[in-house]
Amino acid sequence: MAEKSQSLWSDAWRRLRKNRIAMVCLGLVVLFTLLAVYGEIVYQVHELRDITPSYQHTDLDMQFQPPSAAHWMGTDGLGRDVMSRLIQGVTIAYKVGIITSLIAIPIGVFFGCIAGYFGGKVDDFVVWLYSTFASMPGLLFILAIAMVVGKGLLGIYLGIGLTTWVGICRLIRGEVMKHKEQTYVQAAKALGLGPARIIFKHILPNISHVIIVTFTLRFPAAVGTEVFLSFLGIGVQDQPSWGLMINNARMRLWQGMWWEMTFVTLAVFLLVLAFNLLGDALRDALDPRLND
Amino acid sequence: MTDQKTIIEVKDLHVHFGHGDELVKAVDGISFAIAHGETLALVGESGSGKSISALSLTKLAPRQSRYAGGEVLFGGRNLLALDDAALRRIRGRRISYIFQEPMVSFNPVFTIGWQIEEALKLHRKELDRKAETARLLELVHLPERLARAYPHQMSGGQLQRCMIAMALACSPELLVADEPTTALDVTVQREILNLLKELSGKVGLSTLMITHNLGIVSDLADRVCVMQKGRIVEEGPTRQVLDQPQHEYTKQLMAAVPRLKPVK
Repeated sequence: MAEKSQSLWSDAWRRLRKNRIAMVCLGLVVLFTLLAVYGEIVYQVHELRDITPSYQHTDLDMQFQPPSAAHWMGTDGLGRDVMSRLIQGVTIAYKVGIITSLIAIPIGVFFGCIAGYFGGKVDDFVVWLYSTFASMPGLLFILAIAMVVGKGLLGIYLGIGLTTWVGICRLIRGEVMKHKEQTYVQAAKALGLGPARIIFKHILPNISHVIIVTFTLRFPAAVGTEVFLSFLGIGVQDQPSWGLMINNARMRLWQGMWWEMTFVTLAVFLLVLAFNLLGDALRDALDPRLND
Repeated sequence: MTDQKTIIEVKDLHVHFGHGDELVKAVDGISFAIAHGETLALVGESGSGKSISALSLTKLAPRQSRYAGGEVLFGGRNLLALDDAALRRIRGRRISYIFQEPMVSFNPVFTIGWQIEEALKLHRKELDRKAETARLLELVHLPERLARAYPHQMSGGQLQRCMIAMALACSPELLVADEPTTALDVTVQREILNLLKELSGKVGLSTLMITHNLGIVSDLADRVCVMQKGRIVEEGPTRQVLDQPQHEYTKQLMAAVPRLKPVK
């Protein structure tokens, strides 16, 4: 029966704490987040003082050093420390993952909700809108945006953000359509609640797991796209991103310089895995019906 | 009980689904009125249009339906002519509903207390919501601690009590109970019916009771309307209709009630 249960979120946290894998993943995500914040602070401090940060410091005498006490993850082709570049890469990955999500998820959720709930003409318009976006090859669209706003991170944010809301929108639209037929929505209407309140306060919490899982899945996908775009040369220009690092390391792998590739891919792997497992656990934790 | 002030009057209500060859007249010209403090039962088999009639009072019928004619007079206004914003001020505050399936009528991700408070927040901002929620739960004989429970942690009977508490939260003038006991088992049905009876006496509620269960009708209703295929075929005081049914369909309904015969 009813125990001490306060709110949806405190309940979810209680359930999440019992899941050991989820807590390990949460630890990893927190670690990556701290690294990202640290990386950003280091970057900003060096920008402010206008000095070359250590991760950009080239030393041609120190090319391709394997991991050692001085360089824990070795050095790259220009003698730069792989570990400090890797940490800067976390910052870039986080910026891309979070900012594109902040663009794509609100757009997708908003259009999905109103399309699913109101149906009719509103639905027709939203379906037309996302079909139009979906019919354009994503990469071309991102390239076009990069041409307009210039190469660099802004182009990546807008390009990925404005193309990936379609999937979320479809998912949310379907979920809302399913939920609006349920009796609890009918009951909410009979109580005199307006459409905005029903959609955002009653239906949305019921489908929040969809949003969270989508976020945890598209976060690494966005990182992947950034890697790819940087590889093509329209992404990150002068900062160390994982995409650029993988691209550089790829050439040297056959010469036995394994460390840069290994550590970067390991970082990507851990980030993606942690986010996916955590998203999965969160979805379960956020569903009060799966109690204990 | 007697012909006092009329709370709500339905005149020649038509609700249709579909068009042309597929036109379905779910409600085909029904009229009835409910007096202050009176309980009117709308009886009929599944598909006779009784639920649609009930939902139509505040234009809650599914969107595929059309209000093809008639009036619902409530508080001097025709509700069918009002816009959505005006209807929202009536729903839940002046006309509230109890639905058939308590297990799915609550939002699964919020506690019962939160949902009762939501109703209070909407229509009665001036109240102390915590205290009022506790009072409402007490009114339906539930312990206050259940305010912190989620719907799935409660039984159907408890949830239906909460539903009643929520429906009464804003002291409505009319309570529409759409098969309030159908989804519950027999002993719990009895408890819920007793509760409804007790409360309607206590707060002077007018009730529209939708049911196919003639046992409930004889127990609770002052008057009965028998519906068949969207029309009212017989209407009258409960005792009269049940004791001397005039219409063939009413007789059939009566005959369909299983009776326990004493074992010889």
